[in-house]
Amino acid sequence: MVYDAQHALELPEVAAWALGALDTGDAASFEQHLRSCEQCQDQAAEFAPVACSLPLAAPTAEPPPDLELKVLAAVRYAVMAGSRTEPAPEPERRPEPVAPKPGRASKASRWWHFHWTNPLLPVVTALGAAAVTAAVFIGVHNFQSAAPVVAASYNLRPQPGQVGSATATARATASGYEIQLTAKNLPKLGSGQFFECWYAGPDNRSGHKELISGGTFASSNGSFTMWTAADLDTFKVMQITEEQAGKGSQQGKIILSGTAQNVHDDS
Amino acid sequence: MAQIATGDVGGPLAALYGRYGRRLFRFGVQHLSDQGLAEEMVQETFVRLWRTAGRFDAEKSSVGTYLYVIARSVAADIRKRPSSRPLMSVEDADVPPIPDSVDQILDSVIVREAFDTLGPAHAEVIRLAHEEGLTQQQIADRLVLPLGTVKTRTFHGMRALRGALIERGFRGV
Repeated sequence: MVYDAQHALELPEVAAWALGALDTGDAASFEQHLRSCEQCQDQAAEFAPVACSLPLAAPTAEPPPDLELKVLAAVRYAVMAGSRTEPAPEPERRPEPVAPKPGRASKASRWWHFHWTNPLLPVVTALGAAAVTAAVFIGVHNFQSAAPVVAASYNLRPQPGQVGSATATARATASGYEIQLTAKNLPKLGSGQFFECWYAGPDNRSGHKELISGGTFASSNGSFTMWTAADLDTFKVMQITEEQAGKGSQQGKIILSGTAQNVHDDS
Repeated sequence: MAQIATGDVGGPLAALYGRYGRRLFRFGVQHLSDQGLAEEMVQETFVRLWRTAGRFDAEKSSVGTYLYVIARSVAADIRKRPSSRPLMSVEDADVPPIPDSVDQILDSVIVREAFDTLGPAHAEVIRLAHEEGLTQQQIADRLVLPLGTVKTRTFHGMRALRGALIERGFRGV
């Protein structure tokens, strides 16, 4: 049926009727009209599913601005922790050793295959042993030199009214930082509570959170290893808060706080 | 997805978050009734996406659908945790059930996005009628408008909403 705009303007009640927004008297009058008006029947048929869709609408809630950072940090944490549970790839199949062909002479057929009667064998063996020893020594030295560099250290002090202290070092790795945190005399935790480590950005303040979660622990004393992909040059402040299970963002009180000190900073 | 499967999670994940993060968050708020838990759901959804990226088959589903399937599972897991259930009276425990299908999840975000395209005048009269159950006369009184204006705005708003739903592929119109 061709849409009759004039008719629709004369009887816009069809939209309100579909929404259930006509009062009893108006609804009864309109339904009387609807029985004999094909234009309004068609329009009502179009509006009815629209009205039915409204209860499905997701809420208007907007995600907090730092949620993207949290998502990326959470995935990087998982990557670093290697917590993937995919099936392991099948090991490579090594080729079967080839048996020597019958009738082949026992004499070494390749220049690197020293025959046991070769008088140079002891010399070569000694040189080889020395080379292996040197290689191991150099390898160990290089490994020790390549240990993760301490990128920053923290001295966390209690906030007013709080107790405890902590120190932390951040070591750079290929995909972020390894944090070694040592806490002492933090408050005793209640049921369902835990401590959470946070990295705060320069614009972090009440009502405008700029935070990345760095991991959790549940002991008032001890050493804990955590991982983060946060840019510690930007998120310089480390905070330890007391949190309750079931909450998804920083809601507990700040127990300790400290600013990253760069060990290479001469100031 | 191939990049994510190899561990390249920066740029590709940011792109996926830009496309689906807001919808996932709204789905989380709708079905967990808590913004904090919705944030947790979004984070865990992307972590699980990374974990299973190697098994994603583009011929079987789109990335968006795959994400919503994961989000639905994460939301269900969060709801099962005793610590996730806030203390509330039986009358207030009106948390909607998790949708049975990804299509239902998509419907809810599509309807919200379609509604958000309406002009404020149209959106307001429809919202008052649907969410607050007001009649046209009550809406006219509330907004201090002639009754005829309210009826006309409702009519044009519903037409605009229908068009926006069709444009977004909503299955129900």
